[in-house]
This record gives sequence, C-alpha cells and structure tokens, in this order.
Amino acid sequence: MIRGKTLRVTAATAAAALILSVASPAMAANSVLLSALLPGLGQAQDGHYGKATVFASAAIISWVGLFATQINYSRSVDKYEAEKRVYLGYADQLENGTVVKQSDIDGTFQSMNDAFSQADDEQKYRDVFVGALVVTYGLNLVDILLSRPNTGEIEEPATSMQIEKDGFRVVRTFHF
Amino acid sequence: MRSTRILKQGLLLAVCAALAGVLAGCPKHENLPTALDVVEAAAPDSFKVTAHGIDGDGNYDYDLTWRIADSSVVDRYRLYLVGAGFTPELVYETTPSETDALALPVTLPYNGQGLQFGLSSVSTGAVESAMTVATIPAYP
Repeated sequence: MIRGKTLRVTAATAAAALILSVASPAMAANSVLLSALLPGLGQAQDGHYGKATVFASAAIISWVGLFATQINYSRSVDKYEAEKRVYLGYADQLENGTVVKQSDIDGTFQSMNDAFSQADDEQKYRDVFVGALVVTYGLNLVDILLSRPNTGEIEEPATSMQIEKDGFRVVRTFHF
Repeated sequence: MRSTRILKQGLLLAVCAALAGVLAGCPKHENLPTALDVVEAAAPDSFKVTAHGIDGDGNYDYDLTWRIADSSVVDRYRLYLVGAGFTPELVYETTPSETDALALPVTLPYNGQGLQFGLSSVSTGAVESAMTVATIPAYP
C-alpha cells in the first residue's frame, strides 16, 4: 500500500520547486511557472493582487483539506484492510480445522463492513477537495495564460484619433 | 519564444501529471469479501447442572444435561468453567458418545457452588456456537 506516499512526494517536490523559484530570478520572472507551483503567485507577480488572493486562498484551503481528508481516508483504509485480513484468516483457520467462534466471525464481518462504509464516506470527502484543487489549478493556469502582466504602462489604444489643424487622423496600431 | 511555449506546455503537463499521481497513488478500499460459507451449529439449550454430593475421595460430583435443537451438524461440545478467572476457561471437549448422550458427569476437587459452567457446540465445520451458561448449585 502506498499510504499517501505519492501525495507526500508531490508536496515535497512542489515545495522544493517553490523555494527554487524564489531563489532563482530567472524562474521567478516566469509568472506561469509561479502559478503552476501555487495558484495566485503568478497573478501576484503580475500585479493582480485581488485574483492572487482568491486563487491562493482556494489553493491553500484545497491542499489543507486534501491532506486532512487523505489522512482520514488512509486510516479508514488501513482499518478496513486489518479487519479484512482477520476475516480472511478465519477462512484459513476453518480449513485447517481450528475452531473459530461464530461470534468472532460475525463481529469481524460487521466491523469490516463498517470500516468499508466509513472508507467510502472518507473517499467522497477527499474527492471533493481533489476536485476543488483541480478546478483551482485549472482556472488559475487558464487565467495566467490568458491575462497579460500589468506593467504599469498605459497601453496605446489599438485605434486612436489625432486632431490635426485642418481635420483629424484615425490611427490604427498593430502589434507584432 | 518557442522555448517559453514549450516550458509552459511542459509545466501544464507536469501539474496535470502530479495531480493524476495524487489520485492514482492513494490507497484504495476495494474487494469487500463476501460472507464466509460456514457450517453453523445451534447453541445448546436447557443446560442444567445437578449436584450429586461428595464422593468417597472428597470430590464433588455433578451431572450436566442439555438439549440441542438440531444435532445433525454438531461435532462435539465444549465445556467451560466460568467465574474462576478473568475469562471462561475451556475444561473439556466431549467425546462422540458423550456428544450423542447430551449428558456429562463432572467431578470437581472443590466445591464449585457459585461458579458457572458454560457449554457451546462445535459444528462439523469447526465453528463454535454461542455459550449457554448454568450456575453450579449447592451440594445436597
């Protein structure tokens, strides 16, 4: 059983990459990279602090919720697996002729079913946070890829009108 | 510019892969076993302990009798002494003849008054039933 190993490795990798990005000016300059590491960082880099707060809050809540529900789910799965081992052990004992109490068989079967149902519930809670995390990262990346950084410069409108002495001139600007 | 685009695409793929890894790497609960197909024997009932007094060696004789609703899958009975320790102590398993007789003479080296005997049946599939308890009466 992996028992959340992938989750821990992913979190450790993300944390290491975040530290690296802060330490490296070249990486820090890329707002997309920052946003991929933690939603909102890229928006903050571009000066969009409102969106940054929303994305970062959603991401942090989702990560914390995912970790908490994952721990509960792992515990439930462990409990279920333990009860299942005991229950299947009874089958082996009976095959070998070892006497097993009916009350033990019934009790373990009930506990195993309860643990399975509890794991079902915990999985639903965890999936909610996984979904929230996927949505947060998805929206965040779409936003950072579609929005342009706020450099503080006033952009020249694509179409403008210049007043001349004897009339006016319409100017159309093209960016390449 | 091309390298930046490749970096962005690679980054998106990496994030998606990491999230997929989180989902795939989590332990799963699955394969709920079905109930074991066991041969279950009925528990004995009308379990009685009769005291016969003290024999010539100073031992206390008792007779145990009981009934069983369905004896077809009963392999043997188990006799426990209850109350002498923290848990019931298995003291005897009946022989085939005692199993068929539904009776068992018991001799204790001490007065068992106040203690209890527990009796359970063991099926031919090695499954033990619930225990029926009877209190040891005072000797006459």
